[in-house]
Parts: sequence; C-alpha cells; structure tokens
Amino acid sequence: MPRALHPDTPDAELARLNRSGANTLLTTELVEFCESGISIVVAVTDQTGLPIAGTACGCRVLEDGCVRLVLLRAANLELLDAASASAPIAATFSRPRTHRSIQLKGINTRLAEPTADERQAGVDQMAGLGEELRDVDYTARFTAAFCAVDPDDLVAIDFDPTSAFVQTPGPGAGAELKA
Amino acid sequence: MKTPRLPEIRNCLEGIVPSVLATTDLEGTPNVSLISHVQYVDPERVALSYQFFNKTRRNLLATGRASVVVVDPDTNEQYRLTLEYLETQTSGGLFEMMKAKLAGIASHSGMQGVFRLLGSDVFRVREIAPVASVVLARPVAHNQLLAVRRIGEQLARTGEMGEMFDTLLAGLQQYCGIEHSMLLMLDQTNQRLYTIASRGYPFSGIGSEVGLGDGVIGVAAAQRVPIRIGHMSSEYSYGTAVFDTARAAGLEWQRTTAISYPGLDAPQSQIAIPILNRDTTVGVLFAESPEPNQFGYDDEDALTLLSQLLSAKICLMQRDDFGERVNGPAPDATASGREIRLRYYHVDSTVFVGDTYLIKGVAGAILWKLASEHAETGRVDFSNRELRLDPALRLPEFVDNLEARLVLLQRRLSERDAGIAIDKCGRGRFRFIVSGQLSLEET
Repeated sequence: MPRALHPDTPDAELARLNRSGANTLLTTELVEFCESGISIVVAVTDQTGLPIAGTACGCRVLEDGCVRLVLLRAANLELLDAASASAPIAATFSRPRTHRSIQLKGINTRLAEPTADERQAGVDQMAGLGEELRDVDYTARFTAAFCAVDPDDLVAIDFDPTSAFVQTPGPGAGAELKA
Repeated sequence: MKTPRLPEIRNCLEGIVPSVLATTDLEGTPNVSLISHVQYVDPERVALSYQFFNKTRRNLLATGRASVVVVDPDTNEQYRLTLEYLETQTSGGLFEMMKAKLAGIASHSGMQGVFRLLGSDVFRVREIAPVASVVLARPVAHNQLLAVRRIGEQLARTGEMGEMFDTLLAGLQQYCGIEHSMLLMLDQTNQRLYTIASRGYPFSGIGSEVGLGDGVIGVAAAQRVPIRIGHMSSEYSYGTAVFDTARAAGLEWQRTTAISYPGLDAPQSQIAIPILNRDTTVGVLFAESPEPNQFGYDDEDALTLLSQLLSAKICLMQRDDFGERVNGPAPDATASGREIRLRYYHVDSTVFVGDTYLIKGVAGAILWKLASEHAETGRVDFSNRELRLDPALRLPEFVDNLEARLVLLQRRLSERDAGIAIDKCGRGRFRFIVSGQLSLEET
C-alpha cells in the first residue's frame, strides 16, 4: 500500500461533489481526476457469472459521456473476452499519493480501437502513475516495469457509466456519488 | 507461460504492491478495488483481510467467488488468482499474523485507525493464471537454505546452552545478513518472556522482559505463529513498554527492577518466530532491521527451521541432567576478599547485589538457594536435578526451562560483575563460585 502523508477521505469526496453543484454523474473535476494518470483497475463479470480482475493504462471520457479505457491486450485477454460480450463493468480510479478513489459502474460494454491520441494518452497516463509511485517510495526500477506500455498492444473498452461510488478508505467509503 | 503453484509466488503476497480484487453480486454487477494484501496460508489457500462490511464483503458472502491480480514487488511478475471463499477466522494464529501485517501497512500508508482487521477471509485458490508484464530479474538474495545448513552445522558443535544461543545469533549475522537479533525464553510462572541472548545492540539487555501478547514477540509467543511486520506500527512497539507501564502505575519498585529492553530505537521490519515444544511456546527467536520490508516468507521459513532445531536441542539439554561428571580442579572455597552483599525479597524472589538490582523470579530464587547453601556449608558443586526437585523454587512441571534460567543467571552475574560465577562442569552440573565473602539479607 502506498505511503500517503495526507490521505483523502470519503467525506472530502462528497463535499467536493456538493460544492460542484453538478447535475451529471461525472463532474468536470471527476473527469480530470480519472484522466490524470493514476491507478485504474477494472472488473467485468463473465458469462458464467464469475468476476475477472484486470488493469487499465488510461482513460478518456468521450463527448457523449461514454467512458473509454485503454488497456494492454496481452495482460487482459480473459477480461477482454468477457467485455466483448457486453458484460457489466466496474472501474476504480485511485491516486496513490492520497488514496482518493472513485469507482464507476457501467453497462453496454464494448471493445473499441483506440485512436493514436488515445494510445499516447495511455502511455502518458501510465507515466503519470509511475511518478506518483516513485513519490510514494516505489523504486524507479520497479515503477518503470510496472508502468511500461507498448502502445501497439493497447485496445479500448467503452462503457456507459451508470453510477459512481466513493472508494477512498475510511468511514463513508462506498457511498454513492449522486448528482 | 508456465502456471506456477502458490508457494512459488509467495513474494507477490507480501503486501508491498496492492492487489486488485474483483467480486460480483448475484445480479452480475462487478465490484473492483485495490486491497492492501493477500496472505499466503498454505499451498492451497490464501486469506484476504476483512476490514469493512462493504460491497466487496457482501458480494463475497453472496457468491463466494473472487478474482485477484497480485504483483511481485521485486520482479513485476503478475498473476490472476481465481478464489473460492471458505471461511472467516476472527481469532487465532492466521488472524494475528494478518493483524500485525495490516498494522504495518496502515502505519506506512497513513491509514492508522482506518484499517482494522475484523476477520481473515480464507479462500481456496482454484486457478493461478500468469498475467503478461515486463519482468525484471530477481535481485540476488541470501540463500537461506544454505544459511540454515551452515548455522545447523555450527549449532551441532556447541555443548552448552548459552554457547548455542550465541552461536545461533552470530550465524544469523554471518550467513543471513541479520544484524539485530534476540532470543527470549518464556517464563511459564509469570507468563513473561525474558531476553537470554542478543546481538547487534549497544547493550545486551539480558534479563529484560516482554509480556505475553506485547509487540510481535509477545504475540508470536501467545499465538504460537510467526509474526512479521514490514513497517513499524505503534501498536506493536514495546521499546519502552516496561518503563512506561512502571511509570504509569507509579511503581518505583518495578522501575528499579526493570532491565532495559535492548531493541532498536526505530525499527521498521521485525520478525518473531515462536520456539515450540510439543505446541507449547518455550521461547521466541526475534530479528529486526531499521529498513522496511526486510523479512519475507523465505526468511520466515529459515528462522522457523532454526527455531525447530533449537527447540530439539534445548529439549535434549534439559533432559540431560544425569550426564557425565567432569572433574576439574576444585575452586578455592575459602575465598576471601571483598564482601558480596546479597539482599533477597521473598515477595517476588528479587535479588540485589549491594544496591544494584540483579534478578528476580525463579532465577532469583535459584540464586538465593545456591548462595544460602554456599554460605552455610561452603558447598560449590550443584546439580540441575536437585534444583528441579526443590519445591521452594516453584519450577513449572512441564517445560521448566531450568537450563535457560541458569544461563540467564550466569549472564546477569557476569554482566553485573557480582563476584559470583556459575560455571558448567559437566552435563546437568555446575559450580557456584564466589570470589569474596557472602553476606546475605532477607526481607
């Protein structure tokens, strides 16, 4: 678990939402957070009802509100198989420096081809995560390997977010973020 | 890629890189979170820490299934484990091992007071699938199996208990790279552990005590399982516990008779392995480091093997009270010179030499018996057997640790330059040598 000198709290997340006065699921601030180069972990449910865990390199929230995750194909073969069958999906975005974490749940999961710009976003966002990890004491050697991205191996999963939850550890974790 | 077995990927289960945990509810909606650690239980099972009754927990209880991605912090090898929930344990060895590890993780990550172990959720590992990743060469580490062999060879050449303890700790330094270590024995009569040997500290701390259940040492002794912590947590700190307790209670007496614990001022990693005799704790082998995450599963295995070897040898030495008598020159029983004033307090068998606290408890009672007989009759030769048979000494019937208590007494006398020495002169026999005139007072 990364070292966080000033951990975020679930209450802070809810206060952020209240201040924003937003009427959408994903506020501008939340979109920036999800795209800022942090840890993204993913789960889909396969056709037999089993969960499959995986990781993504980057995120883009598209103009229609759809969330696009870019992820390494080789590391997520089973997950991509399940995702291609419109499986329900969850993705948790987490900043190592503060433990601030948000979980999105979504439907209409489908595979997509990332654009060149999105492939680069995947590389850049993983580099951002690498910086965060070095800041919290992981070695440069480890983070370079952990955050390595082959842009040619990137694929995309799109989904329509239906709900968002505070996942930051602490009292109130799990609360739904409602507009 | 070859599918590994669980013991081969234990390094992924150290809690250094968080794991990804995916679950699903009965409707098929998934849930995903980062979790602090996955605990290795045995070749078939792992455990997850149950800290909050959250969505993950509800899903696990509803479906019994989970998918976890774990990462080796040294090589970045990654695996996806498919898990099947078996049970939740809320006390016992596994729970305490995980509680200590979680306390260290919480301390390091700024989550003290947030992370609290409510239970250990135990899972069967149904499948281990390698996940493609950039893999680094594993850093060169000490070959712990070779180290155990070397230390075992050296232990086999030792003839008495004190020497064996020192040889073990020296071997840990020489072959395992462990610079700071201690051996403590459990006193069944007061349920406290006392330091009998130490290495790598500014002072020996021989005779200093740790309560059963205090810190990693006390928890390992109480639970009879290895306890490891990769980042020190105040919850497991006992460096000043003895003095703090004494101060809080305003007990000048306890403060006067407390021996300083020798441990590091700012340890990060600690490991405590119980020394067991037929499932009963007789002592603890302990090591620590100022660096974080220094003791892994392999170190735990190595120290456990050594503690088992030690236990067998302690057992043999304890039983060996009728061994051969070694005849040496009789010491001068009419030694003259300085007065050696011993003061004995019956209430807790405390002995002072002059105005300096020396020892208490069973070892104190033994010293008083030997000194009284020596003063009355000039007797020098004693046997372990007669100490065992003396009801006044109140030695516990099972695992009396008499030999270890004699080592403790021997070392305290030597460190305090008391003018009294206990010299082994054959198996189960020793000499009580006084370099002066004894003067005894009882209270």
